[in-house]
Amino acid sequence: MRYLIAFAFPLILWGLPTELLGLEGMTITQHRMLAIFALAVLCWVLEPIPIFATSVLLIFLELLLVSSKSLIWLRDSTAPEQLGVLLPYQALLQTFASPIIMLFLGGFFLAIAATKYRLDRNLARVLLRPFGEDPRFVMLGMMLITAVFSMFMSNTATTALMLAILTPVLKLFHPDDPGRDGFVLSIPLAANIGGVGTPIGTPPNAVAMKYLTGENAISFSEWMAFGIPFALLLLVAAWGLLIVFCRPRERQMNLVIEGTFQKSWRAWVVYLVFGATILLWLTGSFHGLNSYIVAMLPVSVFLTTRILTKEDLKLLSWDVLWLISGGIALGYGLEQTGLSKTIIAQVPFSEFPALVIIIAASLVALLMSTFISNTATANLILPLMAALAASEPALQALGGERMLVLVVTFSCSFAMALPVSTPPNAMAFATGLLPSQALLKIGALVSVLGLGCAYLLGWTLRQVGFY
Amino acid sequence: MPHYVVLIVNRNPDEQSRIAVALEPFEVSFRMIRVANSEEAEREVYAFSETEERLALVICDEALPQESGTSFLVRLHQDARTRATHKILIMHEPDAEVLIQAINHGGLDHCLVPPWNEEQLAETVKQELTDFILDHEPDKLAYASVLDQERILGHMHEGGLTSWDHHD
Repeated sequence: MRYLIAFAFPLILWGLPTELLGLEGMTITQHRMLAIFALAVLCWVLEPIPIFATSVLLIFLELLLVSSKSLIWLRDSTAPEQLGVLLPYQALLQTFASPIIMLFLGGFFLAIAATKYRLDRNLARVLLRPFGEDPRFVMLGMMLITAVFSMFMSNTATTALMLAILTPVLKLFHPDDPGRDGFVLSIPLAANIGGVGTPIGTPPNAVAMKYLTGENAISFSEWMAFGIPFALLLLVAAWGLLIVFCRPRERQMNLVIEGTFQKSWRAWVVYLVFGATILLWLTGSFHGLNSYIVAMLPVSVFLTTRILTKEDLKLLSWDVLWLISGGIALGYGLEQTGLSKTIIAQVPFSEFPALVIIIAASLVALLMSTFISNTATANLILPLMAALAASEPALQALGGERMLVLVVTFSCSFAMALPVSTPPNAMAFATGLLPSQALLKIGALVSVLGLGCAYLLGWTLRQVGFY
Repeated sequence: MPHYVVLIVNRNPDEQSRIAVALEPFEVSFRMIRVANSEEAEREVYAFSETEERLALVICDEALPQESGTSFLVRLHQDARTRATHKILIMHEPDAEVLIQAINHGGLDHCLVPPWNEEQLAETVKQELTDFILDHEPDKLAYASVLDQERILGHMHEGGLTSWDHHD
């Protein structure tokens, strides 16, 4: 049934005569793009096929139906003005290796090497020490470390690491101690929150980067300059909530993380490259290399030194990369054919106050990503947001595309009320230590807090003249 | 329906019930089959090997009615369908020769000798099943609540994430 709906509806939509859709000035390519967009929505929401497969299918369909090398019968039979814009096929294929994808690839290389040489586990061990043995502060420490790691590693891998460290200790807690729920909950919440700290923290950020180009461009260091304080603020708020609702009764806990820093030359190279990459990302304006080029540093150094081998390449999450590629291609298609403008023009947004538009958009993003993949949500919503911001003078006054894209992107990351909302949630839930009511209650609270913080950030950046 | 089966071969009802106590925590995720001799055991194994189910673990007593536990394990090990199955042998007195035979030709993973208690067996079973799941099951996380959580999460952290079907 899911298959039928997901594939039949877009087909029917494609089959309808363009005039019948009632959208003024709609070209044939826009019409085809609309059918592709409908397929994207249905496939990402109903998930009849894996979400990254949907991405690849979208790129293929765009190549087939609306590209400059599409099927010959689909482009030669009509007058050019009716047909509309055909997308250069190279641009569509390039989405597989767009600079944003390379940025993520660099992030993956850092994460895989750090894990292979146990840098992450050892860092966690050292960083956790100053937090002592009071469970409340250990929790804060765990959350800070989780958040910082998830800025550079995948949120899911970070959650796996931190939960693995945590679970043996939690067994020592009394089964009725609310602190147990609190601890298990703290990790996925912190991982979700930490993801917003850097452009590579979580895939929705990558999708957002696509719309933050040209005059709206945000550099890696600029993103971190607001992303990290923002994540910290929310993190401390979430910790406060956990302490109030799940106060640990245990007075003392001792997290033992075994291990020592490896000292082989390869391990040193990993440490140095890790540090250097982050440093270079932060100082882009000084040396002139942009973050995409810097991302190639770990890739090339780790491969030439054989720190990562052919076997390690298989550990790369190609599905995540392709999921992002599909989103970029979808956004490109919507924008270049002019469909996103046509759709936005159908709703009289100018009749609403800009603030209402922002709140509505972020709520839609939050709700959607509570149930479906955050990245898929960003893939679907952000192209429309970019077109909306460009066309609404009222939004321009509040910060335009930059503001709207950032607020909505963060909203996508803050869906954390259900086990299905994010993989870190699913993972914590699968340990069997987490009652779903606790997740629902505190996760929803943190979601709402996150939205509030996102508005605050949007407003603050405006005040400091960021846009 | 659980995909994996644990087979217990033991003719002694008392011991069967002791083993049952130890295995209780795993019944959510694994189907238990209890039989008294190797003939019955073999029938069961071939019956479900036609289906989607796989034999994850066999807990076999050395003293069986018709043949020794070891010779049954050796047969299981020679069969491609049950070669990957983890094997625990319960002996009543340590016998080096039997043990060598079981390890070298029966692919034995663990041997218990008296006095063993339910807790010990439960922990052994947990570790053996965790090994099996880490090697064979794509959705390892589904087993995190019953098996060794720390090892499963650690494995996922260290690259088992490729098979992880979800995204941030």
